[in-house]
Amino acid sequence: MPSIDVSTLLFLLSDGLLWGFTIALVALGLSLIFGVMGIVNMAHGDIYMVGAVLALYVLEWTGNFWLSIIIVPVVIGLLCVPTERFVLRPFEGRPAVTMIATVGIAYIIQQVVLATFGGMHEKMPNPWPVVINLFDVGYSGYRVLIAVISVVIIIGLWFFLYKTSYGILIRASIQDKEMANAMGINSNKIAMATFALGGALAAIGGVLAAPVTQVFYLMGADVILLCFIIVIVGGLGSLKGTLIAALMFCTLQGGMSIILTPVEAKVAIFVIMILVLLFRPRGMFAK
Amino acid sequence: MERNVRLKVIGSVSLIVVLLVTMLVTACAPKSAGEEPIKIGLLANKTGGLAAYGYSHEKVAIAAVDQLNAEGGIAGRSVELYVEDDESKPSVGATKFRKLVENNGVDFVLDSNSSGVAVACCPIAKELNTIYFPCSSATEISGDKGNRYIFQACTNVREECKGAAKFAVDNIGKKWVTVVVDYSWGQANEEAFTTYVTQNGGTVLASIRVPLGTSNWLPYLKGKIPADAEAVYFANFGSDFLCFLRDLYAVRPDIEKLGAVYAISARDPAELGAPAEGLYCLTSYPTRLAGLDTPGNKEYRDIIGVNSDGLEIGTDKYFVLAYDWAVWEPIFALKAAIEKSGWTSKADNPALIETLEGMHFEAGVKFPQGDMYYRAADHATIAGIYVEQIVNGELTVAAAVPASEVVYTSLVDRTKEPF
Repeated sequence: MPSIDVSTLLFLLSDGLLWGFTIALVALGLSLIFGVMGIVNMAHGDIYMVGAVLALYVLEWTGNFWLSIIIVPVVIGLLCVPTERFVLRPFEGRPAVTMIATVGIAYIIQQVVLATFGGMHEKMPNPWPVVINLFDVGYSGYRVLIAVISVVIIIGLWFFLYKTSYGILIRASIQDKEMANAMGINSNKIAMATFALGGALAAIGGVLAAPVTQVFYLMGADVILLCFIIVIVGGLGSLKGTLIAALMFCTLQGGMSIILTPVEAKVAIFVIMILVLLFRPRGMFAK
Repeated sequence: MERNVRLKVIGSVSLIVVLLVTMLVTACAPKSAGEEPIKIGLLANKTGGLAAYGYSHEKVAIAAVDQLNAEGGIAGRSVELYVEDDESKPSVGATKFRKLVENNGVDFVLDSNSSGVAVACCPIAKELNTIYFPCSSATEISGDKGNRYIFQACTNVREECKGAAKFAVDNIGKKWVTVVVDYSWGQANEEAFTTYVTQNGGTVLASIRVPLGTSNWLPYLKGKIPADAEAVYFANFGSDFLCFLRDLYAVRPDIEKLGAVYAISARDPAELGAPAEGLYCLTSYPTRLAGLDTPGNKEYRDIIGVNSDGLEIGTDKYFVLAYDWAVWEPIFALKAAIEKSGWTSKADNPALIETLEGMHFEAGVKFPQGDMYYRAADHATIAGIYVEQIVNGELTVAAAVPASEVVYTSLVDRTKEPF
């Protein structure tokens, strides 16, 4: 058992927590899509990847990384609209079938990016090269900044879902789709908007993560498994559960790496997931 | 009317019978071996984690076969190349190897940069009586996982670490930490580097293994590198390398760095910035022509379309050069060995293998990396290596290690294995 240095422990917990906010953004998109549409979106990680790739192109064309935070989610959201309408709508509410359909979408996205962008890992320059001393480490200020941006977006999402009429319609669809339909809510429009919103959240996650993780056509695989664990543990469709689970898992992952080997840490994450599901089979916050 | 229809049917049937008979006769006609092309299969990592390497290997293999055919082929026979994508996955690679041999009827198979794919294909090569030149540096290929049909086309991890260890201790530091990606290639680097650095008077204070595909290396580095460590030996590539470099700089900006082969392959050194300044990296082929400025190497670069700085002509992007030579050279080694042994078909494989065992090749356009040979005992490629360094944002060759200094005692003796 290695000795535990307090400053190292505090650093790792802080680092995990900060990254947790960005992961929460991506996982919230996944949770929303499942909650409203009953779609298990296996392509969510690849939408995140496309967000990162497009950010690189926006930077190349405009010379301004920050523009990509606005442009990329809009583009992805617009692309999600026909995907939902023409590919996914016939399968909505049938999770097993949607898994197969979205795996197909994921492969198509990957191969299109490989054919156009290439198979090389591309380095995204740090758009905010400020260094902060965090427990004796020259920590990237950009990582703190993206945590702050993620928090702002999550607050905006909360405001949209809880304080606007359209958000109330989305939440109504999550709680009881049939009743919402019976009340005259156009569930098709809600589903289309939700898929676009979920995709846009994944895309923003990809844009923000690009300078941290580097850009690669298979980078979606790095986050999709963690996002699924978060969504399952948080409670399928529960936005509050997703947010809390994202912060909890990322912070735990950071803290565990001080005493566990990488393989043990991975096993520990699954053990925690199983334990939560044993006592709360529908996740921590599912009703 | 009825008569016309009958005539049409008889005419059509007759035509089909004539065509079938012609096809049958053509297929059964004895052909001399000289008329049949020699078929070479290429297992390229066209998709998956190593997709960038597959692109360059395919391009180089096509160029080599074109060059060979332009010079009259092998023993008067033309050469055909069949390419399959192994998706950088061992299970897919093994299936594609069988497809190349059983469906396409290839005589020889080259490549796969993936250690997993190469190791998975070794027993299949023997089973299918097919000589295989994997282009992966896993030590096991010229060790316990190889067999008499396998010739490791590139230098292996043990040679690379042995060659670099003396330079590392004499010029970079004596107290080391190893940081590797946690799979067979990384583990082999950790083991070999530790062994040879210790033999040269250095010590390894800590060994850190990190999962492949890690974007945040801070949890693995913070608090894990002893304060008195002078240098880090790392084995990673792609996004792992970029993230490692950034995070190591955050934790220990002062520490010296030496990377395994491939770390900086196809990277613009200037773009890597301050964290990479002064970084050393092993390679078996210098990125810039200035590092190996021979007429043969220059001609090779011209043929494969790479300029003197390592940029691909046409795209102006850095080309993955590290083991490209190890796709190019086996094609010309085969030509020399086939013409020497009189090989005409797979029935002659034992004679061809015996010819290749211990066969030496001289530097030139066909062997641009330099003089090399296939060691008879373990079928390892014995060739020199280089240590590159980033100085003022440019790659320079800090040291050239001759083949004699990378040689280690073979772990096996293939020459005693039955065919």
